[in-house]
Amino acid sequence: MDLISVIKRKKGSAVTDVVIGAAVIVFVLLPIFSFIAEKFIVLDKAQMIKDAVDMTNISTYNAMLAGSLGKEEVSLSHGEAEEIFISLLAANLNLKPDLSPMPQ
Amino acid sequence: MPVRVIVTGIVLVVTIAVLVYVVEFFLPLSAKSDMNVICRDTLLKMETAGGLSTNERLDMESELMTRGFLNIVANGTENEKQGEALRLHVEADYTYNKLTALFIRNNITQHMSYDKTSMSRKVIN
Repeated sequence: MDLISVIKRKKGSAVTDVVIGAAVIVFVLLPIFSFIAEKFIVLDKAQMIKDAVDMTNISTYNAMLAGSLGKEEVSLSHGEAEEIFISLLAANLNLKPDLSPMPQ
Repeated sequence: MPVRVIVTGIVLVVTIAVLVYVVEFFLPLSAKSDMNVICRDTLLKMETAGGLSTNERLDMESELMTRGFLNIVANGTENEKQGEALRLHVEADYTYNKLTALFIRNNITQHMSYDKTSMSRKVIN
């Protein structure tokens, strides 16, 4: 039996169709779906963390020393900036004040 | 031969049902993403305005309703001076139609919330 006659053969098997269909779903569609879904979820989580950090960074501008701005100097009160940053980051990422995770 | 056609048809229907289920999986994720964007924009406006005004709250709620959210509850700090904390807390329900079995579709309601704190940048004399 040569290859050409096998390819040209019109008779098939219903069981083969079902097995191939199931194999396509299990080994092709499901892994692709899992990959895309995981990628989407990770990107979404990263965006949420980025937004929280952006909000916190913008808020640290409140620690800028207004007096020095008049002298064309941009300086921050480091202690106040750190306090604002840590408190807002903990609030926005749902962490404890020491930035450790909240209990479940 | 007719058996093969029937079996092929059934396999095709099952494959299409799996594809539809896969695509519908992303609907609530996309809605939550949109909610985060809308609420983030509102919080940024709150920073410069010193709080959440009634007009701003109504604009945000109408935008969320356009996106498909229902039962929207929005609470935000109304007025704070520079350096004080501003909090925006929004809760809403997102209802969508989902394939739950091979030929059965049901309405699924997902409850979503947004809760972020920022700092006022408005100088009040």
